[in-house]
Amino acid sequence: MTSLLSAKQLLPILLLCISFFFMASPLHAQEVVVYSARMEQLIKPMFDAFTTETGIKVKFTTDKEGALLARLQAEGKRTPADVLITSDAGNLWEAARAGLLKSISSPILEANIPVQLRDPQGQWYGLSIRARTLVYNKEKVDPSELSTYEDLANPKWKGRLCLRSSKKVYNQSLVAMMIAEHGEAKTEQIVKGWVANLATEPLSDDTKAMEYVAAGRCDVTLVNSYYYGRLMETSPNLPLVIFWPNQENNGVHINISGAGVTQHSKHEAAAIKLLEFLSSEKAQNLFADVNFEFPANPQIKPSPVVTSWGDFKKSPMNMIKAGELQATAVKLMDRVGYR
Amino acid sequence: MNDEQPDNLGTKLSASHQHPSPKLKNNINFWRLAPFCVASIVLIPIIVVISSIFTPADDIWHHLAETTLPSVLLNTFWLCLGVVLGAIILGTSLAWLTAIYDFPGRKFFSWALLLPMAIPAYVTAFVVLGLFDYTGPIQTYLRSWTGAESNWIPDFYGRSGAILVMVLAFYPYIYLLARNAFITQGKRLIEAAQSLGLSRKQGFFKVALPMARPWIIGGAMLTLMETLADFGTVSVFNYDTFTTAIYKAWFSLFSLSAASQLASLLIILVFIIIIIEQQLRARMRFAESKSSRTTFRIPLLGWKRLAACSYAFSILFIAFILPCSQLLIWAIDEINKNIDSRYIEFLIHSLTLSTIATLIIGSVAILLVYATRLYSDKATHIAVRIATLGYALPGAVLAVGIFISLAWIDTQFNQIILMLFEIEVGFLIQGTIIAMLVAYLVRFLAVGHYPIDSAMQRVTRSIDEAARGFGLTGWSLLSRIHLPILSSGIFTAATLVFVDVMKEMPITLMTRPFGWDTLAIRIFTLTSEGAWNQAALPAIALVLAGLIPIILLMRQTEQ
Amino acid sequence: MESLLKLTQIHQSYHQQEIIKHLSLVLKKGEIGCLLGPSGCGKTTVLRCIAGFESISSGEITINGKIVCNADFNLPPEQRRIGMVFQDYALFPHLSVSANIGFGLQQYTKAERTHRINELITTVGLTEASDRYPHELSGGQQQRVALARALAPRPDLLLLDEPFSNLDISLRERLSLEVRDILKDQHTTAILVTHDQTEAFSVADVIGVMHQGEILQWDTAYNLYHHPTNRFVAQFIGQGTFVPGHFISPEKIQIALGIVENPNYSDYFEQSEHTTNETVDVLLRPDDIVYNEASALQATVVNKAFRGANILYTLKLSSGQTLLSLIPSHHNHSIGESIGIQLAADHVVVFSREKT
Repeated sequence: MTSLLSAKQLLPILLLCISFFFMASPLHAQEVVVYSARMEQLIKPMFDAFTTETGIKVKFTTDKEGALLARLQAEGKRTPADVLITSDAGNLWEAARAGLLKSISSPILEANIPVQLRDPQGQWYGLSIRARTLVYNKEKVDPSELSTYEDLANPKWKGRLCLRSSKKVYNQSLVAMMIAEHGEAKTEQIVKGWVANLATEPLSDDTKAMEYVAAGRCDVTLVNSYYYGRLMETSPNLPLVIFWPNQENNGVHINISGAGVTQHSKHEAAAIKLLEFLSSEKAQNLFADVNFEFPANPQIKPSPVVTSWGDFKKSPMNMIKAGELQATAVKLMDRVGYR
Repeated sequence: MNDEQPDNLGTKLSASHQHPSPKLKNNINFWRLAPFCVASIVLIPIIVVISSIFTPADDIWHHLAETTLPSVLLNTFWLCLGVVLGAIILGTSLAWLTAIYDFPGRKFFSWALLLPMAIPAYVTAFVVLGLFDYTGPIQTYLRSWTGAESNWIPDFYGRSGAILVMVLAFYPYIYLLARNAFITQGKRLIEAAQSLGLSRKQGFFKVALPMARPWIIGGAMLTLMETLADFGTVSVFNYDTFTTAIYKAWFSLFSLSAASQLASLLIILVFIIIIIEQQLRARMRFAESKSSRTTFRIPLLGWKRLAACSYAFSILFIAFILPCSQLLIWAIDEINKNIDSRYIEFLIHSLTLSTIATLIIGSVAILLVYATRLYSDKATHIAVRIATLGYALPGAVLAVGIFISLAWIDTQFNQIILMLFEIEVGFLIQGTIIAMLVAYLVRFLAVGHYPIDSAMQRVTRSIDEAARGFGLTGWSLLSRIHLPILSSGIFTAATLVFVDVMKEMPITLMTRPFGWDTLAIRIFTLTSEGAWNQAALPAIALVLAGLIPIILLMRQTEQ
Repeated sequence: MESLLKLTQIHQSYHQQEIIKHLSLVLKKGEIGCLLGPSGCGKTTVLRCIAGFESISSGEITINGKIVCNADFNLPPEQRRIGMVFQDYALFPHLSVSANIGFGLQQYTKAERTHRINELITTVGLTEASDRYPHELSGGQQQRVALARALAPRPDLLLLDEPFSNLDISLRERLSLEVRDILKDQHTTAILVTHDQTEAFSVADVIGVMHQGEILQWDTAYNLYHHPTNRFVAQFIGQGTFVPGHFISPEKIQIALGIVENPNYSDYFEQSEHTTNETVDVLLRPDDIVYNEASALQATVVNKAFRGANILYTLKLSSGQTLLSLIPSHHNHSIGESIGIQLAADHVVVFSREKT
């Protein structure tokens, strides 16, 4: 046990050494630090391309949105972060509301990113579009039966609908946007209708929901289109077809994955450069390729697979609504028992 | 010792425990203060969380109370009850079986039954759900075989599924502790019970089980805290608990303060349970005057051999072999596509962090246990209990509490430096491995503490007194007497901490230095984007790394 | 009286080592027996075999006329209707005194159980301590709880494994008498294992001296002391020295201190076989040699041990022969002094000369 004692004495010294070794070293000018809620495999290719093109290194860490926001808040003006990336609009709006993001103006970004996909004050910019749309079982549903999100509340879908849990931000954004369009009362009726039509308890993820549709447990579900792309890539024989709803009226609900420069960024120029790069053709093509998403830059075409799903009308509503009305949407879903 | 004056004796004894002999005076300050120092380190982030009680969270409370809160509370109650009871039954029965009896494969099962611990619970949940739900191979096969719908099979979602998976994932805590208790228990008291006309089975329920109570309760407390803090597993089953309510308040309603207030309630609840449990066994002792540690095992005969064997196997099969096989199938698909040199790096990071954290947490736990032995007053006991509360908080909430505390300390430090030298030094703790280690300490101290604390309860006071008679005090008493005696408890603690740290996610995510990705982070990164097939690779690596301490532990206890 | 416990030729070996060698004994109902012997003689093993914690390789044990074990059969301990008091008491640390005592009373109704517990608590004098936990009791109290617990289910046979060895001497003596009274009061048949002869003498009716897995002599305390049948027993029980002598007639033996008459013969030395001038060893107890100022026989004091009323002197004759003598303590002599002694033996035990 004497060895344990000496280990005990050694430990503080050891820790000190390690801490100096790994200490957050002062940043070089040619470096930009990113807090990303978009996971590594979906963002690192773009960072690598940025470094190759500009020589600026990208240091990044990934976490859930909530944790990253809390982290920025706790670090205050000493934060090492220059850029925040999220995979939805609601959290960008919340970050802006909490004063964590800085208004920037960049002619390049303004040219590349359509106005409804960015913050009016320039605190954040959408980088890719994620469409939340319908997927149905072609053996059980005639496409003519499908029309809108709202129609899924129709009793004709009783026992035929599968939904992902309301705890996922994608559903919260969708309902928030519906509130913006229809008002709270009408939206509540619609969501209530959805819940009444459920074939089974809300499921834990989009892929699972599509698998339920494919297996015949229900006929139609609401998913982000890239999940459809991924599932069909691995199991091309599933009887699943994508459907773009609300083409007659407001268009398909979209969300964004986007980024903003932090309020206390030490490398603002480099950070803006990164954002501009991410909106550029090269990066936008990567966005299109890595995950079946739609580039935010309208000049860039989606991947061939995504293009094959057909063109569709996107909701023109500004993404800011998703953030503003998210809490209202969550409460609404709680009220109608959408779990 | 004058024997026939027990009253005097009693007072003398208790007096001597409260006022240590003069020899000990040199060490008084250190041992006296140690629990309070550790408790305050743990308490700071918890206070950060609790302090939010005073910031109003507008109408969120009202909303929750009107909508989901009642069902959430009920859900949490049933989940905790089910998981804790299930884990006690499973863990204790398996521990008794492998500690006392001999049957084919006993040695193998002794350590293999710990393996489910190495898979993060939500991974088990996802895999088990995938196998058993409507789209899973079992129901699909049933449908194609009968040609009929399988709607009649109750949905695996919700309560039953969550309880089942969590029991399978958490029973090793109780198994490991109870097994340790049964092995070190000695046969004497069971013999005493038999001499009083009780069969061995009755002896188990009336003597062995109650004697193992500190261990089983310790394991049950860990299970309870883990259940309360779990978010991943319940999310897979879309089962709403108190913790999902906390996450909803934070992530969906953007109210960290409402989330913290909910979390504070959780802490208070756990604290009350701890205090009640402590009161209940305040006067009891669990030490034998003499432990006759014989390794004699009772061979099982006839059908009992088979029954014991198949029971152990079926648990291992559902809890480990099944999910692992699925992971392996996925991993084999991915191995060519996704394996790269970075996996070595992830593995090294995981092992390094777990090893250092285990050393620190183990040492601090020993320190606490020893300090409470020297000073068994109420204040010390409460300080120690507070120090173990970090395990009950949902990881992400605690992570924020820790992060805010560390950032505050760094900021204060910076301000002082700035005032004195007019230079910015930047963060000293934050973003370093030290921050992670402090965070792990706060989170996992309970895991290190319970096994060692239980083991200490089996060391009779006379051993201390005898050792003091030889002039051993303080460190030398600890290192020469207690550490060797406590070694099985320490090994148990180290194994649990090691595996727990290795699969920890929210704290690692939030406090890791740039580029310090671990296997657990890799699993999170991939699964959070639904890439379960790819996540199988790091998950398998995690299981393999978790084998290291488990095998070491078994070497130690089988001797 | 019928025999309650009967051990017939029991044998146990472990790793080719014989622990118990063909041991037999009989204990009558209500009798208190004792296995006395140095540590390692196998006495505790015998007790554990009787209890059923260990099995035997041959022989047979019956309790109350019922076979409880032989080479191929072993009745579980809980079905033997025995009670056991362990050396370390083995009290259940998680149970209070009354719960410990009531532990074996599972079959009783609640009222019966309470009654029996109270009865025993009174018997062992622990009325005040009934709600305490074992660690809150003194050693003597723990011992009483252990006894009460073992007695509570009214066992056919009580087994006591070195029950007093953890107590100090004064308490040991008092408690051992108390325990005997309690056992007799409850008409309990008991068997005690100890290495302490005073303990054995004060508690037991019959004592078996054990050595290397065998009972050398199964007898009363008086006979063990005065009629040992074996050199080991003679030396183990009480004190004494062997003095060489030879027969001068069939009834008389000449030793250095004089002539002893009417000797008792040990089992190794049959009376009929002796011849005149045959050399023997005579066992002299310390009380066989008394002080006599006027005696011509002088011995030097080599050592002395104060025993209160007496002093135990170790004396040396001019021949080099060592003797022990118990002399009233007012005859206080210092070491090195020469004193007069005299033989005062009514009866002595004679052993054949040990072949060297």
